[in-house]
Amino acid sequence: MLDTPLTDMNSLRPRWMAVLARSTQDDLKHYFDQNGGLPDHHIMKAAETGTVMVEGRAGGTGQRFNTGEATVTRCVVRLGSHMGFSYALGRDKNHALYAAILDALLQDPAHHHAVMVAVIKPLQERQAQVRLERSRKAATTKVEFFTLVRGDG
Amino acid sequence: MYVAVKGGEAAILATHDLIAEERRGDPALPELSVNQISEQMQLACARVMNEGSLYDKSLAALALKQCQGDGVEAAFLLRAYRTTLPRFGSSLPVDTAQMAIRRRVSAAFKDLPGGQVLGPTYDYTHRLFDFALMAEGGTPSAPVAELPLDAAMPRVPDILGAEGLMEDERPDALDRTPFDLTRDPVEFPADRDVRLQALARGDEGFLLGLAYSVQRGFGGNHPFAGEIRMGEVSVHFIPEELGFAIDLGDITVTECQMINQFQGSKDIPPQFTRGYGFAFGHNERKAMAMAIVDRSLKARDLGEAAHYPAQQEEFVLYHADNVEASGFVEHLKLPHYVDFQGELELLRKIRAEQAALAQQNEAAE
Amino acid sequence: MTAPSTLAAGFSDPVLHSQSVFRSVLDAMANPGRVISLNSPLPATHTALPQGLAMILLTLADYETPVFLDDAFDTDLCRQWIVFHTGAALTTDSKQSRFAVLSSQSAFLPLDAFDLGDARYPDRSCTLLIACPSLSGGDAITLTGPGIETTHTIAPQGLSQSFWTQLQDNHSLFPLGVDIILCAETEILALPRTTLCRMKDAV
Repeated sequence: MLDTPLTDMNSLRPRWMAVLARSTQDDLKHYFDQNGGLPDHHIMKAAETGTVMVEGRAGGTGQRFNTGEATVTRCVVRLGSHMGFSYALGRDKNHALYAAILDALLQDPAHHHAVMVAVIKPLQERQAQVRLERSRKAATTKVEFFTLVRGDG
Repeated sequence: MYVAVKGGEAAILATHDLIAEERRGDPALPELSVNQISEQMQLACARVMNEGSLYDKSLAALALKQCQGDGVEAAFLLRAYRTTLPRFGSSLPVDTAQMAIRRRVSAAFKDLPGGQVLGPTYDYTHRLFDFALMAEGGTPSAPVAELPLDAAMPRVPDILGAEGLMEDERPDALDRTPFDLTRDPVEFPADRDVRLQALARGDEGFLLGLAYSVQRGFGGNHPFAGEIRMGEVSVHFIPEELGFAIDLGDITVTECQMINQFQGSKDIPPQFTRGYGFAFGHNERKAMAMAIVDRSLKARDLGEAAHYPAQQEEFVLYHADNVEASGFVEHLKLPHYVDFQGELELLRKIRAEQAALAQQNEAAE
Repeated sequence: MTAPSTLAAGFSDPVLHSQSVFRSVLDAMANPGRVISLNSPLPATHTALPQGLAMILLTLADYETPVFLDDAFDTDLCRQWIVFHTGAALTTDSKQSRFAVLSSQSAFLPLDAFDLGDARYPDRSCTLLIACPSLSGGDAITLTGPGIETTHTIAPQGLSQSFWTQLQDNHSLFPLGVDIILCAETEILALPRTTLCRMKDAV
């Protein structure tokens, strides 16, 4: 998603928001530390913690039901003409602010590429790596069956 | 005679200090951090999240720390905290077929696409103490396979369903918003969505006992563990002001699909029926017990006789919640001085009347 | 819907300000007809919504309360402002709404166009938020009912005679019926379903 033309930014947005949602406050703070602190921004909705009711489906495919809630923190900022949103699991309000500012910067053609390179791409790679490693560890516990006796009568 | 009194404020305040000291234990030992609890007591945290009905690992850990590891009290703390939060909305239904699998086993089918993955489990330990853990256990590291698991790990009932031998689990045409028992009072007969929500937040011990009763014959279904899977699923949510689905991150969940025999009825041909269990975190016992009880509560829908406790939804749903249950049982330790005084007076009066009557009878003889 | 960058802000302190407005709405409902001033500061909404109605929506509306807007308020700006700040879904079906935002001119909609609650849950009815030019200077209306010691007289402007007739029908449906909040600028007054409203000359 690095070299995609800016016209496709809308379709990329859910993907970079997903990467930001899985990051930590420190992951994001690093970028601002390297780039002269937080850019000027206007808070539209201050970071706020609430919940989202997590729905499941009976049998995985059937009737919807409520499994329980999860804590979620959201924040909305405006940078120039761009509105930056963040919604992520957990209760980290600083993380929510940083993620919202980065979402706004990513919509701005002047900053999109730099933030993709400096923040989103490395985080995305690291998140994929963690997932892969978990799967490879689980794969060591996969059962290989050996046929002992074949009951053909 | 009853005399109204008030008091105890100083004593109550002193309990706060005393319990704080008790909680800390021996100050010569290092204090537990919340991160230590959330990392090293993960299964306890999972149980608290389920019964507290709120997914937040660090809050579950804090709850356990605050109440010295009392799981029911910890669930209560989570429930109380939840009521202070605004709800932003409901997620899209999580898709467990897309789970990043860490464990997936089937006791019904040996050869599954994707295979049997034992994952992190105590099932194959010998339940012998590992005394090495009495000292510091070091930093174990698990081996890493060259290749990850298959990308596609279809759910077992979905595979069998293709043959038409498995009860279909499909939403009706409306696919309506599920009932929420935290917002509306439960009414009976209760629909499946109500039952599943109540079971998902229900007490693990209560559901385990009910599931056990079903297996022992008080409910008469012989279940097979069709599939148990555990891993991470992403939670998607559409904020009204954005209008498109965004990914909020991953939660760890355990899912159990029980398969049960069914004789068939005049409307339904003989087929396998299903029970469904779903739990936050890694919590197989809860998911399995829930799946068995979900199936037994289908008795009415399937036209089966419902003689046993696990088949009676009003009994199960009204008694599964340990926060409600402990509230009602434990409220008995609060002052009931007036009630008791009333009973005492009544008893004395009856005794006095009986004595007077006996005297009269004696005098008459 | 993506919120435009020109969207006006909501409460600067959402918790305290919404609590204050909630308290005021409670007072208004407990004292039918009493004019109550909402004091929470709110920057201009840049919409046709009176400040008071905007504050009430910020306080009471959320994702579980579909909002209906009549033609006077059904503008892009208004829709965006409400959805962004409250997370409420907008509905074009007045019967589905929990809050209906109406102008006094169009408040002649038949009341049964709104959810009147049902016998088991009469509380689950729609609340009508009606914008008036002013809450004084109009024809006198006499109120009686719970929360009013004897009688109370109000004189809001902009409401038609048929509106007041319909309110009498609404009252007679008790325990069903809608509750009404009239608003001009930052002032509100409430007409819950328990209040009987009579035009002065009809008494």
